[in-house]
Amino acid sequence: MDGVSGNQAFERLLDEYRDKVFRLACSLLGDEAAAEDAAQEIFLKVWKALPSFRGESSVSTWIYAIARNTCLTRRRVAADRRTFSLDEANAAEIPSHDPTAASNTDLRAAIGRLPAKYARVLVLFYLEDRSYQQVALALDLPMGTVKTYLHRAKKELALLLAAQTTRKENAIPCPAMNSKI
Amino acid sequence: MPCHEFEDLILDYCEGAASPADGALLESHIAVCGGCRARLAMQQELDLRLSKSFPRPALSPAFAARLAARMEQQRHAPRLLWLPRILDGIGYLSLASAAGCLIQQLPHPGTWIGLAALAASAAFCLWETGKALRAAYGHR
Repeated sequence: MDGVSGNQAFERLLDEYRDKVFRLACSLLGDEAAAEDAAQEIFLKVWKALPSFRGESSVSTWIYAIARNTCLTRRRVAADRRTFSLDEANAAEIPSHDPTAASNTDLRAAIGRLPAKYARVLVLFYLEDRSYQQVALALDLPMGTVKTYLHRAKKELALLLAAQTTRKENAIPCPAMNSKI
Repeated sequence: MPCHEFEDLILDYCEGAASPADGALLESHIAVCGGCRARLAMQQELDLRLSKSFPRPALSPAFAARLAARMEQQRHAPRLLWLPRILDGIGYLSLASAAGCLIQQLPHPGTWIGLAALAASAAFCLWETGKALRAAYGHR
């Protein structure tokens, strides 16, 4: 591949995959700024390695593998720097670009309590316009597994949200009791 | 069909993944089952909340320009281009001198095996060097 055609090929890949890679990074890193930074690193790696790409796998498989590895390395480095509690680490999986964050605190907290593999599939499913196929490709999982994880995530989420509602209802102080005290 | 068998179908239905036949089966069931009707309503509400919670994020407009600047910076970054060449050269000289030593003892039948191993090593080294050079200069 000569320099000009190599650059054209890279431009095409960048156009096709930058948003998809960014959404995958959002679901894995849980923060838009960190995801954008990771996307820069991922495309630099793609650009450097493109001349030696031999087409043994499809381009999408190759790019998503680079993206996943880069994000997981970044998460490991971040985890080494800070001491996370388990809940905080799970909560970090959730993208923080929600404009109605305050009203969705319960939902985000409940997602943060799901097993990481379920939370990742759930978040990416909604970021990817509810496409099983896109989630399967991005996370390198069989489509059946994506569907199974998604259904388990939703069932657990429903239970967690119901438990949260019950806790809140129980925590509402009774005016009659307060007046007696 | 018992209610627990409709659980996954309710989720498929909410995700738009149920077949028309399964959809019709569920609709006829919820017409007579209050529990499953409530479960479906709850899952539809959850689905809506999740859809609203995760709008598609967008890259900043400066993404492409920043990437182009980083690529340009890497193109012009000083590299120790001579170091791998010197190391390669030392490797090839070592292979050649080992081959010379073996050839001097050629009547000995074992030397053919040594020479074959050296030839394979040399071929592998040449292939790796070619790959490294293509990776280093492929963009230029």
